Amino acid sequence: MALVRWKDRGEMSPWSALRDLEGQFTRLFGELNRDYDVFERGWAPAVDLKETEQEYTLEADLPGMKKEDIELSVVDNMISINGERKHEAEEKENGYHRIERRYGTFQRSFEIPGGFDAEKVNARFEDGVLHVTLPKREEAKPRHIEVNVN
Amino acid sequence: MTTAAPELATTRYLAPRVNIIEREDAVLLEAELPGVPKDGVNLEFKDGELILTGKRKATNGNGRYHLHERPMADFRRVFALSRAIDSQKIDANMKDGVLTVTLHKVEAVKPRRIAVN
Repeated sequence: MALVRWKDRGEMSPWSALRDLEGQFTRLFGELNRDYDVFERGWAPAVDLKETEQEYTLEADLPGMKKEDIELSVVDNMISINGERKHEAEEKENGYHRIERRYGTFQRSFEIPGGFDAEKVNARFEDGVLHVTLPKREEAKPRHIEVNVN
Repeated sequence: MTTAAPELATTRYLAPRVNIIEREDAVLLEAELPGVPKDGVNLEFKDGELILTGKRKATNGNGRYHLHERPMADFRRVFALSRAIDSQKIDANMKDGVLTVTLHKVEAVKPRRIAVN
């Protein structure tokens, strides 16, 4: 049996084990947060990234957001989405029975393998989903070469 | 034996995130349904329960996924309504992927201001 430091009765309560666990989780996620601060900031949208021969498409679930609160930026082969979902203050004096929706700022970045033509990126926001098309550069598209056999 | 597994799989639904807010005159239910058009939502009121169902469909089929985090499936959630809700006065509105259902309270439970002469 391993030696365990003496604890007084208060610390021996079932909750103390939970508190220890909580501390461990906080440390663990604290380390992750340096790269990935979703846990701290609260939310990040679910995303699909798809590739066809001609283009990449990025789709992000952003229900309840306004078009003007979403920002897209491009650096090299990276595309970033960030924005803020605002919580309307109107409900302040009302009672909440359930709050599952998340609010606040978010940021996500994606590296597009093989890159894309930044001049031709197109985005639209429909039914709470952001659709971004990232056409491939001409040189990255597959080409069909006909070979004549004599 | 794992015979129960396929049955379980057929009854698995997405559960949209909701906020439920109580106002003096009504209860508001907000449900996140990104990518679901207005006609993809079903709202039913039955035996004191509000039943929200529908289907979330993928937009375009072809292509290879690098990231696939958005589940496409049927969604379903059931909410028990208190008797203070007037089942004849339920409004629903869909905007930017959020469904807002306004459940008006029956007249008897609304707060009333009584003037003193």
